[in-house]
Amino acid sequence: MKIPRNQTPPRIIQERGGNSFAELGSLTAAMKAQEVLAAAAIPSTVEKIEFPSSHRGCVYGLRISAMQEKNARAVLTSARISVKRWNTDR
Amino acid sequence: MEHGSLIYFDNAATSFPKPRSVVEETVRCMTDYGGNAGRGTHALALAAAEKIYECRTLLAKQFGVEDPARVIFALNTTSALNLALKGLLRRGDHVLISDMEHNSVLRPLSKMRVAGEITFSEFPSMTGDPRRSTEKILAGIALLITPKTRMLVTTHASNLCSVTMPLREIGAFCHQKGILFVVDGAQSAGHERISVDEMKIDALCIPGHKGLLGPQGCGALLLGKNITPEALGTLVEGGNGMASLERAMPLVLPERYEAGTLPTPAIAGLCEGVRIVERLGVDAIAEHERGLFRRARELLGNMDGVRLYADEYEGAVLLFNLNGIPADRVGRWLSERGICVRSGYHCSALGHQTLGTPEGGAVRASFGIYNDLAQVEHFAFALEEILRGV
Repeated sequence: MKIPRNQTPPRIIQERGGNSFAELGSLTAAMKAQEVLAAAAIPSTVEKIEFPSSHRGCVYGLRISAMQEKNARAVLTSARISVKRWNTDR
Repeated sequence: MEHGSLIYFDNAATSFPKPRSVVEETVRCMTDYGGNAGRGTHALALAAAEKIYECRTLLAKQFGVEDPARVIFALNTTSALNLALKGLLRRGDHVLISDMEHNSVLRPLSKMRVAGEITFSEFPSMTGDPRRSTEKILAGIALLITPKTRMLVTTHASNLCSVTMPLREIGAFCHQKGILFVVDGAQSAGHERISVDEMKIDALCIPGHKGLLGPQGCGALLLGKNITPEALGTLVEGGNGMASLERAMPLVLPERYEAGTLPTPAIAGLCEGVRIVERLGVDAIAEHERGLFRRARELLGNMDGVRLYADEYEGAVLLFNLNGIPADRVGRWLSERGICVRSGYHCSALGHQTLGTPEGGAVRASFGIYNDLAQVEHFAFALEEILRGV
């Protein structure tokens, strides 16, 4: 079975500096953002946001290496992709 | 049932056979990665989500839509049209439709009219009129516009004959007048070039299972830039995998319009179909089909007792009757000879009325990428046999 692209081994993401989570909303929005980041060579995995800001339940986002957060923010802003909230676990 | 010896001339109903890669990917989805997209973030749910997003992206590119989120999956063209019509129209609106529309446009609007919600008028497509021109079509549309005209719906390519409507010019006209422009792309997706953004289409409704070579069970509604989630109401509400604590469907494209589980295997197959169309090129596909049409028209045109309809328009669809023989009987006799066509009224009351077919309708042969000239010649031979009473 081919491993889906989202199944990036966690240890690669969690190398140093922890993870950042970009809360996006719908699954399509998360995949769109992932595509944009991938084009900028920023790997990410799609995840459900555990405690979304809106308390609406079932919100999707991206997990990115915290070291990449600054770049990711710039890339997403430039692509006019709105991130509802950023969180980091360090 | 083994289909190897059949001649399939019913591609306007559904394309057949499906390419091997379409079949394989549909099956692979069901055996390797087909979780339920948007219902979790485990490997299989995400793999399914990736495939669905991939298909959105391919369709967006194929049909000139900048944002894949503006590709909404539907069951088929009919359900996409129902969403566009019922979601966009408001009480009191007036709608213009062409006189060649399929029942998937006519019936929803007729129901809304009977309920007193909207009114609609038919504008002449000028099919079969030797004076037909884009300017005259637009002039005919202009005559019917009222202060309440809010939408124009047209088929791009008819399902009865190979006439097409000038989408670019109609789109520009509608845009100038502030009229919503909805296109039924059932017969043109995968056969003709369509660009939602360039042609100023507000809603393009397409099937996955005809010219795009995908399995039955999926189609799409592609939205133009000006249609917001606030402007397009929902037809179906339910779970869509996000914002589950909200009681209303979220105002987010495309999930707002995709309640319930998507037909992921069909979408996976459609992905491959779109890739094939992209690789072959719609121009090459159209030219192939026109070549078959020309040969069929030549052969049938030389037979006594054959009546062709609107055969001056070249494309994938040829409509005809055999004098003195009911259309359904011709269809049955062709089927007995291993030739698949569709006879009757083709779910197009308006179209048959416009073409002036007799009681019983007519017989339609519709070509696709797997048809060839030898099959066309065999088809003509079979018709000759029927005419001779063999």
